[in-house]
Amino acid sequence: MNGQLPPIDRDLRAHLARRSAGRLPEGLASQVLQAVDHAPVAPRRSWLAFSPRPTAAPRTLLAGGSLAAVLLLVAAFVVVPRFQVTPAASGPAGYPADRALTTAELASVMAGPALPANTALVASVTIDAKTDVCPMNRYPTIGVVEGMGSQVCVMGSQVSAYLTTASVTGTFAFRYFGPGYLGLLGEITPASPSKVAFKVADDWPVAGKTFLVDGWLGADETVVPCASLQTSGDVLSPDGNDCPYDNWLSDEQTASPADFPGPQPKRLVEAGGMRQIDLIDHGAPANGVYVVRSVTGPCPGAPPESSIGCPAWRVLAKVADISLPRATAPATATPTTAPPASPVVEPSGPLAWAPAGLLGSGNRPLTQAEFATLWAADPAHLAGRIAIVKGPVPAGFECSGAAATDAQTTSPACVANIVDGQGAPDGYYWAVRVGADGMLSVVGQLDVPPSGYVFPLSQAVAASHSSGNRLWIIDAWLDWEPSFACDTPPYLPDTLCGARAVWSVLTSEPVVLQPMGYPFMAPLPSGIFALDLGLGAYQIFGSQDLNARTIHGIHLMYGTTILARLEPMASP
Amino acid sequence: MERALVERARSGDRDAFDALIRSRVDAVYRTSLAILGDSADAADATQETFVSAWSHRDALRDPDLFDAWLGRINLNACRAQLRRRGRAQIREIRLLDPLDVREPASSEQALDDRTADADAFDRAFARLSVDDRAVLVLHHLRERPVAEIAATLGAPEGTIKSRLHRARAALESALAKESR
Repeated sequence: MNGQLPPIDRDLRAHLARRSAGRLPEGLASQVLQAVDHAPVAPRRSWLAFSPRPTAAPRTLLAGGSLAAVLLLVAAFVVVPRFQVTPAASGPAGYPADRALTTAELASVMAGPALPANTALVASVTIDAKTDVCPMNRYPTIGVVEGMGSQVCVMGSQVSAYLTTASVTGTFAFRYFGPGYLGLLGEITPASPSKVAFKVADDWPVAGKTFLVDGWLGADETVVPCASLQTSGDVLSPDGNDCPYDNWLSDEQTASPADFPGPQPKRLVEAGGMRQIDLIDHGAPANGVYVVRSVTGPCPGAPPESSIGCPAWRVLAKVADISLPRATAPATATPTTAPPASPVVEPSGPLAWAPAGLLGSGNRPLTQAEFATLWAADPAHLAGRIAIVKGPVPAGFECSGAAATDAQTTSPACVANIVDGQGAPDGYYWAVRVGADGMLSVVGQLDVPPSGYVFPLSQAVAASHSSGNRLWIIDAWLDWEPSFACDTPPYLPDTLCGARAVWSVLTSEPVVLQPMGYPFMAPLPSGIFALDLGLGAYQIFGSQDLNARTIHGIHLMYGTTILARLEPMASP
Repeated sequence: MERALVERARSGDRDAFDALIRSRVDAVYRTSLAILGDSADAADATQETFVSAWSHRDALRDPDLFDAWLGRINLNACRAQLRRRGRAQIREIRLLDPLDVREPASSEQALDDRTADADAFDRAFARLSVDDRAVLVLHHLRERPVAEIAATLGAPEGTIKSRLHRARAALESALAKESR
């Protein structure tokens, strides 16, 4: 049967075998067995039974079965409720293709367990325009939703249109930010009085309207070179660029031109940002209800300065499947009473500076004489710092041999070389840490490029520095995504707005990356060096630089972690 | 014998299911590891696979399709693991042989070449969708029959060849980008 498949590729097989090689983690089988001991058993749901091949059945049999099932369900509803004590979860019928959530249903959702961040919802509600009840760093407040059990704030990136009246009633698409917080994607133009979502073949609204489309989102890879990095944009206003893919919406699962030859009704759309935000990969068309907006973008082939725009369809989000917690009591619309505003958490104290490391002028290691001069002039200036020095280090410094980090070990040979100068010819370079007590500890031997001492980004990406625990220096721009944890309640005890990096990368140019989820979910753009996250940005740069982003510097690296920002020696 | 074991497990016999776990935990782990490239993630996906299989054992209709059914659960577990990883950490970096001191130039060069080659492949592989990774692993590494690959991916058998072709093309494209 496998004769129809391509032959096994030995190189590919070798790589895959390498990826899957190694011993089975110790105790894994036992852990699995223990986990199975505590596994819940799902109720029998024969309609979900796995069957890769559809089983043909006589229609009369199916009809008979369906009738029996309906009768059983009716009987169950008549008999069972008085004994039912456990709330059950269920998806609202017809949602989201046919209708939006009602106010009561949205209240039920918001009162239930927290949803994953950025879950997209559609609801028909009334929003009361209020701007001062919902503190949030990232978005201004549009208002609060009427009829919720507790306050539900609506935040937005574009608020002016919704603040001209005291309240606005309609069908809205939201992203769930957290308990009590929704982000407004837009007001939905329904397809008809009886159905909210359009089909792909329908005439879609234009001129900036936001609407829903029920269909398949797919993508074809193109050979067009990508001129810019792919970014997600804001979660409420995602970017469209998805190079090198052409995204489309179709009423049918047109998996690929190869699989389904022939014309299929589909429309090209922009969906790069929402794919990153909603974690929809390009592997296969994804069926669902999508929030789409008519936008105006640059015309194909037009020069950048052209003011003539062309119409385009931007997919903003994929509406999530929602299970409604069954209400224990009928949901009643209650007047919104805004509780006192929750305070935005601020850092509890000043963030400490991490001392910068030292280099010689011209991005070269310090010579013995320079290091000795610095030490003699002001030992306190060096305390706690890492210095890049040319070996051997002169006598007079006591070497502890302690590692710079817990994860690191120092070769005894390095210690011996740096202490007594034997076997460490001119041309070897070291990173040393100066202790407050005058002790000198060896961080390790420096790996240098063929010429000079500092790796450019291109060499760092191409070389093996990402995979070894070697010390090396790179000249690059640092960009990172600060944590937004303080924007979304509940506030965590360790929350420090922007104090933690969600991701951090080095780039050769001062570009600002704004991809949600990047670089955790490949693809990783070329020319980018991804850093470990263990070292929060503020630990190196201090609080005053937290909002600067894209900081240029000379960085001492340990594998993929920044150990220190290096500064040229200041003359004593 | 195998079918009887699966049938007993499906009816709730834990001893039978434990036997199935022991006979397949290695294969499930290695498939997960090849797809995910991280041992901790692969271990989590492996555990989630068997827990989910036990919890939903009623959903298995044909005992002869147990491996395909388990493979599909495993693929979903890998997909979920990647999404969780996307919220928590950065891409994996493979350490071949961490060294603190320099080696002789020739072996260092060879090490660097091997590492760079492996890293380039892993970065390129990480660009692929989970389904693309899975179809390559199931065919080129595990040499599973086309029917099982199709059932695991939830795709018609007739599309597996084109899926393999497309995944291979995507990998080549990704490798080309990584080598720039």
